Amino acid sequence: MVFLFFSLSIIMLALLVFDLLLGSVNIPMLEVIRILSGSGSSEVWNTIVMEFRVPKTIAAVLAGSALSVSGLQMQTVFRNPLAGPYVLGISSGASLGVAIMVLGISALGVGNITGLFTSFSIAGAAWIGSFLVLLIILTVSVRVKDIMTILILGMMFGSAASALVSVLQYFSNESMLRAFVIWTMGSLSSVAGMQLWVFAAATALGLLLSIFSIRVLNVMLLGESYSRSVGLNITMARAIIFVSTSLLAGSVTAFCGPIGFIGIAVPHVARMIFRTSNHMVLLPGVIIIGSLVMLLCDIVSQLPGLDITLPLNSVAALLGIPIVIYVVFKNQKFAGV
Amino acid sequence: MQGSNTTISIKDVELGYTPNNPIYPKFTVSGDAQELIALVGRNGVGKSTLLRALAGLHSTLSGQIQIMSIPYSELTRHQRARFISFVPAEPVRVPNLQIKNFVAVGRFPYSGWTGGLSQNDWEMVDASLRMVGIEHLANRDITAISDGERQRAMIAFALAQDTKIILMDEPTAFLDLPNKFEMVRLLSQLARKQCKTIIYSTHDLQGAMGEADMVWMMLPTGFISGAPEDLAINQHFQHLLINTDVMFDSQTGLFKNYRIPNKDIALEGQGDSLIWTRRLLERLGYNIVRKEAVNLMVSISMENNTCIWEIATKGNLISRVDNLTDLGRRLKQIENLKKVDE
Repeated sequence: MVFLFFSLSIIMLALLVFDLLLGSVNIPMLEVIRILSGSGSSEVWNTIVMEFRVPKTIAAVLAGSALSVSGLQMQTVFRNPLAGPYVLGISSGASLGVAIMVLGISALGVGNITGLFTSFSIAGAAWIGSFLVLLIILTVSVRVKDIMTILILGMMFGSAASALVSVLQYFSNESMLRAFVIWTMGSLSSVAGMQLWVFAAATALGLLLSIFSIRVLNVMLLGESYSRSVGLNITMARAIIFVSTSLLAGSVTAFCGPIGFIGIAVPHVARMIFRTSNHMVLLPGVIIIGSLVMLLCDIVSQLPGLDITLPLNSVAALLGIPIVIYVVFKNQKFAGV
Repeated sequence: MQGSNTTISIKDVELGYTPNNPIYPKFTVSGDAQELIALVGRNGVGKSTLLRALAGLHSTLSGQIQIMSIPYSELTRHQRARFISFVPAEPVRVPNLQIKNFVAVGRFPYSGWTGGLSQNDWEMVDASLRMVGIEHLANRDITAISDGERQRAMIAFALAQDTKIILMDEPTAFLDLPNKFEMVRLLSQLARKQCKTIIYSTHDLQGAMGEADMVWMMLPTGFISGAPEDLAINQHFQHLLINTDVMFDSQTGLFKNYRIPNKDIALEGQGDSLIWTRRLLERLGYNIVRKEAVNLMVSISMENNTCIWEIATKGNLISRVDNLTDLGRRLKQIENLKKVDE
């Protein structure tokens, strides 16, 4: 177990360094190390590393951890191997927020959105969208005890939000549509400066709540009868986990776009590697593996040696889909997580 | 009725899910420490509903339940988890879940949301696994063991929860015959030695007759409780069997299909072979009568230390066999010939 954690951490660090070295401008490794230690000689290289590559790498680690942890929580709470960070409709809510902001407001001809203001307000709109979905889900989960009903309602809200997004897309102009579509493709590079701090703080808070919930998750894994029998306050436990998930997945969606598959796939990889269902192990496990996979996605999407960059979401899906298919074929009976 | 040993008392309780629509009439009953209580009744009568109400999974329509002399409504969620544990009927099938980690969840009421398990908690987990005899499986995956072992692990969970009262929904449903017997015996020992009240629902009346201290019988018409022997003497088991072809033989304590014998036969012999020959003949629908009253007769004799069955009609030997399988087959053939004759 310790060996597994150790080797995974080493791989993650290696990818982290590799990710820092990679980019359209070729900067030698020694120079990158010098810049990181604060003694870089070239002003341009310094800017590239400190203002683009480091934030992007940090964003990759944050997004990877956040998506994987929220995916793990949702799979456990819903006891469904195909649940993920977005089953509650969080990303759809965020998309609706962004769509209203980018497409709706522009359609009304209010304001000209440019520069830093754009990405910050996009993040804000996404956050508000996912927060509203969370409020609805929380209200429902206090009234409705059956977890499958909550799952179905979450999917319904998600579909309704997507439908509204389509309506907005239909009525919006071409350039705004393009801006929206690019947002849906996901990107790690739009997170910089102040946004990174906000992103990091939200992720940290979400992770803190999930660490607080480790024992509760181990109970919830056994289902409702056991949970009630050992005296777990299920409504409260669900609320805390939903808030954590919404903070984590909502922030990723807000700052990096709706990145799919990693949240579903990574918890399964962690279970396959660690061969346990104990969240005391799985939670740190998915944080490391999630960061590792996200760094890998970022590296692949930059296509080392070429000048073009692939959309992050497509890369994540192409890496994640084989894992999901493997899980589907392996757990044919879909029993438990 | 309520003594100092009473752990659970149910008074005028009405079961149901919607007000004014009870699924079971009012009843009153209580359980003591060191008692294994078998909850029996036909499918759908409300056994699981009663267990789930006692476990706090849903509420009752009216009446009072007291746990350790505390009214149920005054129990906090936390207290309840330390007084009552509930083992559901569905087997736990979470992949990659080690048995000891599963049982350790039973310690949740003692450690709370964030606290880790103490040395004492882990000792409790080990002791629980030992009590049900699966300590060697502690590190095994819960999906990779047999149904009997999994049921034991589920009992260990309840033992680790360290409650006075353990409720179990059909713990023997998925088990083979020896496991069914061992399971009930284990429950009875745990009730006595660990001083617990164990209430389990079951359709295995024979197991309940053999090991349970009390039987709670849920009949559609009302609730009957008592030692299984009391219920047998007072002919209460027959109530469970109303409108069925099953009868309770109060001589042997066995349940069997009710048959009206439609043909006569005479039987001669002794010892075990006589007893089992009689069972065979009864199963085939024969009424055993005096040999003067009937033409057909089976007689058992010993030749060179082997048992021989002879079938005779009107005193004439028509068949000799050395086992009951063949005896049964011959009798059927004879019967068929007779039908052709007629």
